Amino acid sequence: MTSAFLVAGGINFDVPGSIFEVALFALFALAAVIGAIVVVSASDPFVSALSLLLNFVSLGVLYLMLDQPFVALAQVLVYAGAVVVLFLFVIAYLGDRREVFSDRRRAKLVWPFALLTVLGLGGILVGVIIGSDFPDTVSKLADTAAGHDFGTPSAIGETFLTDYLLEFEVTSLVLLVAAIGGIVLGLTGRARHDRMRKLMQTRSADQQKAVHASAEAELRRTRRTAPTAPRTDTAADADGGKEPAS
Amino acid sequence: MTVSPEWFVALSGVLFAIGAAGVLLRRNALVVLLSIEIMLNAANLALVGFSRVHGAHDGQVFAIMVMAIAASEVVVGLGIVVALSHLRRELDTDDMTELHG
Repeated sequence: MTSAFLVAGGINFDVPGSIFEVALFALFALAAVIGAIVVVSASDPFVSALSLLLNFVSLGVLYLMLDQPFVALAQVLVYAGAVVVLFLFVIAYLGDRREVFSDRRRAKLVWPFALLTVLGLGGILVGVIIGSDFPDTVSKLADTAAGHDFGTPSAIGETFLTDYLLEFEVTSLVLLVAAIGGIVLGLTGRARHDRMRKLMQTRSADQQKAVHASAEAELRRTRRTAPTAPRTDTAADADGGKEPAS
Repeated sequence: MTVSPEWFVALSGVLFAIGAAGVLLRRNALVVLLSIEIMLNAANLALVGFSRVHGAHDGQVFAIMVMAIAASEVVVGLGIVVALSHLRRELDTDDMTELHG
């Protein structure tokens, strides 16, 4: 299974019934499960995000074991490279906001039921999978329809652009909408209100440029006057960093 | 003894249950989003495992689409979390009851 990547290193693990394959699977499956458990149980979101990285990388290795290098590459690039970094940025931006395990009645009431639900769900899922009869095609991949170019970028790209063209286009549309949504959500509070109103009022690109310029000038003016502002501002800041009501 | 695909699918079931536990038990909005990522990844592992079982590319195509949707979800979800953080000190999902009837 993993021959293509391990033979390159001078080691042939592709012995039928190789113990290395089992050990490799056990190691990275354990890493993935431990990573997931730490994500759920850590009180610090920073630790959660880092152990999510461990989970993602282990899953990437498991994808390699399943002969799917392109998905493994996308997994590491998209999840470990982009998603976890974005999470870490937001956690750093929000600062230390640990979850307080308070003795709230509702939380205490819900806990056992949630745990029972999850254990039941996991038990049923794993039980059904273990009990079902899988066809054993692992050792005879070359005989299947996909043949020897299984999992290569060109084969996946061909599938994308022939059988799943509409889905491909819709996915790109979803990404575009999410990008616009991220920008809209990023403009918060008063700045958002003012800029949205001004942007809606302006028609031409020149007018929009003028709005940006005036907004920048205003920002500079407020920055300059900020140090001489009365000390009541600091009291407002201490009050949970709330924005003053406008 | 070889590694058969059903091991991978069983692992995906375990990971999905752990992610569901995070969504149900945790009250920090950020950790809930992280747990959703675990669940999406568990579904991806199942798709990839079944793709290997059948020797077809469809499962991998779906897995890559799930990655794109997950990236979009993270962008919008984290945007909402940051916007909410300007309004309130704690990001406690039990306190977010503005839409409660």
